[in-house]
Amino acid sequence: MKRRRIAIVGVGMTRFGKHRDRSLMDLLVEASMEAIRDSRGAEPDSLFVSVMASELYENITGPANTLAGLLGFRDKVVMRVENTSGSGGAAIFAAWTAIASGVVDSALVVGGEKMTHKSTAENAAIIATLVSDYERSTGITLPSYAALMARYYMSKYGIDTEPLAHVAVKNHLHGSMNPKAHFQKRITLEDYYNSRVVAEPLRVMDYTPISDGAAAVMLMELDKALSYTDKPVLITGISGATDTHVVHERSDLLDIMAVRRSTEKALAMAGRNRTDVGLVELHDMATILEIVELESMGFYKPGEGWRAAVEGETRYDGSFPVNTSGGLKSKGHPIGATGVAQAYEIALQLRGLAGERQVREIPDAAMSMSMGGFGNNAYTIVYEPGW
Amino acid sequence: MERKPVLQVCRACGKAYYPRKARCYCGSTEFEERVLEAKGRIVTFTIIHVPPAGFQPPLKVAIADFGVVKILGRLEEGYEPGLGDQVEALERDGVVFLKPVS
Ligand SMILES: [Zn+2]
Repeated sequence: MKRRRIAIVGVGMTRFGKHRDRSLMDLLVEASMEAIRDSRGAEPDSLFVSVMASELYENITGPANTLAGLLGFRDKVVMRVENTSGSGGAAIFAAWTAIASGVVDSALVVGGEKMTHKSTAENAAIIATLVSDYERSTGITLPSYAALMARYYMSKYGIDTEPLAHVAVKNHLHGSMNPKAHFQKRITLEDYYNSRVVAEPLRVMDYTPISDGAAAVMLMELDKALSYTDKPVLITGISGATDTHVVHERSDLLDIMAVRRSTEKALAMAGRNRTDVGLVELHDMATILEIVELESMGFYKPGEGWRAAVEGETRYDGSFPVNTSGGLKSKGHPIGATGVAQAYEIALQLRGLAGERQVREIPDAAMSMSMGGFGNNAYTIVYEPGW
Repeated sequence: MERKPVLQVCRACGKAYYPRKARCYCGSTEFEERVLEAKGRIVTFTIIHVPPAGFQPPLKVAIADFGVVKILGRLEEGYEPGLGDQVEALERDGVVFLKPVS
């Protein structure tokens, strides 16, 4: 059977950062309306909403139905999709498969989280609910898992934290050119080393901030899509994969199977090789994760990923741009929004609308990798210009 | 009270787990219990200066490799860990502490 071709026809995104007087719903509505406008007012058949923890952040259940009501949607397929920090990728997968099946022809995917009204300690406690009971009882959190990973990587390959600092500097450079990023300022290596140690060997400047925000993409079957955009961004490959939930069950802490397998399956579906891919958005919750994910995705050999930012390859004007949006590090990480915001960035870049941070050459293919927990569950997507 | 952790070992493939699970990656649900007697080595550790609520900084955690299993555990405050340190695992109130073997 011939598979339907599915494209992004429009995108929307709030600025990421601190939205003091705005609720999750305000942010989801803003991103949704922008995506609908960008899709020439298209009326989608379905709505997929990625929100991790509105129950804990704002005492709200059923955010997808609330949003559908606010958007004036009736008689549509509406659902919430949750995969912790990879909820956005999972929601795009759910929407894509619904269209591919022929049950619906179009879908609005909207992700968001409202986090900054809670303290850092409250945020840490909310996010820590996603690890196993045993892991939580030790006091470990996702940021401290990144520290365990960083020390292991550094000792195995004989490096210090300087390559991590280069990832932070690079992603802040990108964020400084993204008017929707949480942090829009460059940092120096000195700023990195002057930042406080959070979990040795990692510092404040290794980590994503806590942010509010939302992002949206409109997906449509390609024949219909051409009525709503001149530049449909095709999703030609999409897949998910899991790794162990309990992190210490992994045979190799530096090979995230969820990332590796979802990449392999998505590339196979698209019929593409890694050499076709000239742009990647990935899940740099901490700097070390950008390095390890690039290796697990197979773009660098084990032990070689740290060179990418040091040598400038992954800068927006380098040979293999990574996280041109600023990544989680500088753009911010309003959890449910993150995977959708990756698709937003790639659509801008492939359409040549990324402004100052526009990559030098529009690639044949781009990828995003949206990861739940500490590599528990990843969704990876291959995008291609569809015009 | 401290005791040695009890591993859950798959009867079909021999893989060991701590904490327990419902089903092995090999698909088997037949397990036996085995006390972890072996000494392990610290493969990575961190000292957390901003721990979650309910924990005092500095909070030290590590992953140790015991051959049959790797376990994430806490370190006691007075212990200055190093990579490769030999440790034993002792469970207290459901949490494994990794203690240096003197
Ligand atoms: Zn087994």
